[in-house]
Amino acid sequence: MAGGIKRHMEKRLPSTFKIQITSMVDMFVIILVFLLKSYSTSPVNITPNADLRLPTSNSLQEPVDVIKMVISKKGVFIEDKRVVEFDASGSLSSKDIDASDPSFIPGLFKELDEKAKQTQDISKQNETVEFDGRVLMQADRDMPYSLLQKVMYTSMLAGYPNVKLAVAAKDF
Amino acid sequence: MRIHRTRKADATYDLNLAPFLDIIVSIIPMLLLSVVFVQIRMIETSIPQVVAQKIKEQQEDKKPAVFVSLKIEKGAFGYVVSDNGKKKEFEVAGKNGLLDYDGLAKASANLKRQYVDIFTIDLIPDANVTYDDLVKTLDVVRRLPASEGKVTVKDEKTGQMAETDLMFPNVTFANVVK
Repeated sequence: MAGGIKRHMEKRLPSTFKIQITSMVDMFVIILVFLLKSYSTSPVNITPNADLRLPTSNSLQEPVDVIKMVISKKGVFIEDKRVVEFDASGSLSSKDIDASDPSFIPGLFKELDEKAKQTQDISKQNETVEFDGRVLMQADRDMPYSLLQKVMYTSMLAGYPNVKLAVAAKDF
Repeated sequence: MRIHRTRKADATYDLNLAPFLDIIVSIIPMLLLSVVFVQIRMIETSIPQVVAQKIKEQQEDKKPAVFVSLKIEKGAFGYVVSDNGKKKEFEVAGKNGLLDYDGLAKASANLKRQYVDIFTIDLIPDANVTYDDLVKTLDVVRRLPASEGKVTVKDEKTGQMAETDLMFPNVTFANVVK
């Protein structure tokens, strides 16, 4: 009799059980589709920042991997290095502008000039590297043209006359 | 005599989702690292290099007969067209103190139909114009809106006619060097 009950329990209650993973797979597939849609291979990365809000544009041109110049409300950055710091009102202070030429920003020129010399030195050794004077400007949407003009003028004098404007895609 | 067949296999069976799950779990961290919430695009511009331009013009010994420049001020746009020495100016007035982009699109389309071979425009923004207004203006002057159709341009090499919705894609900031 006892053997019969044991056999019955073994039959009704298996010692192993299966995890129900179908709903988890459904969830993963939804996440996968979302992530694939927002996947980017662009060489330009922008970290969301309250001090830098790019204007939107219908331009479809992919950005190129050149020197990145960021003009946020805090200052002017070359790559990740701040070369000019704005004052409390978010504009250039008089100490950052050349007294003889009001459009010239010496701090920015110095950094860009160094970058240009570095690239030119590398291009002498390595023929695949070419100095083409291109710079990608990422500016906050509220920045006035008076400031952008100074930045573009200085970058031109430093050997970067080809300024490309970074914008956010409108249809995203 | 009927042959009684017993079904040894069940009609339903469980899918083995474990390998599929392994793949997804491997892909998701990789995609999470490259996820973007803001897609970046680029607008090509160029800054005039006065000396280089002069040298080039002298070498080629030809100057374009038509210059188109667009002034952007806080409340209005102003077109200045120099056609073989004759200067034409017209304004696109703003609406409620703001820039009228629809008006600019129409004015630019009309101008483009007059000068279909001109693709270059000199931009002269006012000091107070924001980067946002600048980009919106560039969007308007670079391409014809869908409602305006397309313009027909003659290909000088083949002699064939080609349709394009490009208006003034080659934008130059004319007042960078003052």
